[in-house]
Amino acid sequence: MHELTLAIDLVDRATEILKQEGATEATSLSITIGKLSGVDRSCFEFAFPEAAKGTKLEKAHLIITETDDHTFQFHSLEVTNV
Amino acid sequence: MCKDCGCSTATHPLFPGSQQKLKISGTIKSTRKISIEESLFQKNQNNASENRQFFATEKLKVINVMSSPGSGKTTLLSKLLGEMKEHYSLAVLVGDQETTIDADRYAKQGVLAKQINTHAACHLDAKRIRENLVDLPNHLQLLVIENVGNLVCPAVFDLGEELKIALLSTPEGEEKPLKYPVLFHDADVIVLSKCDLIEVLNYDLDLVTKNIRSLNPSAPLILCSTKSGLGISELKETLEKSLSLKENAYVPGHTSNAHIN
Ligand SMILES: Nc1nc2c(ncn2[C@@H]2O[C@H](COP(=O)(O)OP(=O)(O)OP(=O)(O)O)[C@@H](O)[C@H]2O)c(=O)[nH]1
Ligand SMILES: [Mg+2]
Ligand SMILES: [Zn+2]
Repeated sequence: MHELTLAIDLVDRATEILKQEGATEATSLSITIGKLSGVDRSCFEFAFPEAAKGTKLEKAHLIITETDDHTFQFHSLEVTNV
Repeated sequence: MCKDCGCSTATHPLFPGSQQKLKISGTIKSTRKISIEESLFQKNQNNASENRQFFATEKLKVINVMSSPGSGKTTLLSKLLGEMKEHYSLAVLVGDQETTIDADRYAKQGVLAKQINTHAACHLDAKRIRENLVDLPNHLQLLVIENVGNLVCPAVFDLGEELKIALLSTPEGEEKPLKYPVLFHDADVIVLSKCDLIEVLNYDLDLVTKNIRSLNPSAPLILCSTKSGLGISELKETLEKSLSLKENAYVPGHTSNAHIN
């Protein structure tokens, strides 16, 4: 299941951004999954919490938009600062 | 009502552009939204670009061959490359979850091959390819990558190749391209393999052609059979033409020490 690899990549990238931004944790991530991207939405939804376990993204809500093309895009990250 | 979590939109903690206070167990936390806008394939894409650059400096032509398990990649490629090795300096990287069976089959045809075992992974990625390039001879002209047998996942990962070949074997049925569109949509060359079985299977060639063309109107579609030899020289000529192999002839004795690291 390549969705797990991709979910880990997303968590790694988001963790990097959290660090750069000096943020405590992520509350949500917004991404797009295109129908021709080869990424399965439900597999990704299943894989994401696994990948996020024990990270600053553990409680983050994953917001997925679907398109008909090749898009697999990371749009935005919502973070909290204490 | 918000479609993502069912809350009322006004109180949705993730309301677009919000910079609001969230009350979580007594402490006040402020949230802010960071715009990112980058591809989630970026990591593999970066590795693929590095591979592509390396292939260009080395004048190495690279093909990525993808299809379902058992659709005939190794049989066809070992036959084709067994002939092509007389004219070109070539090698194969072959991905399977386990065993070196396929690499041994190539070796039997005199084709230099290296097995990559992906274990849990269902596909090869650009990093895996790069890690394995160091074991190949320096003066190669053509590198063929036989991907892990899988109609779905390999299509997602760019390896830095110049040409993607999708195989579809007749026993898989006529509607596979429609069910698994990504690979067929993206392919530069499409091979219909095991065409010796057309009659036995009562296979509908017009239907499969129509299905393939609905996704990919222009890629050469080559009918092959390793039993009768059908299509093998056509495939060879198509590759020579698409990759300009003849113009970039291998000079024996030429070596380069450039290695990717
Ligand atoms: N009838 C017929 N059988 C074929 C043909 N080509 C391959 N086969 C048979 O199909 C089976 C699978 O072939 P392989 O070449 O191992 O297929 P593969 O795509 O490399 O399989 P994986 O690497 O496991 O994904 C073997 O039993 C081959 O003998 C063909 O043109 N016609
Ligand atoms: Mg094989
Ligand atoms: Zn997969």
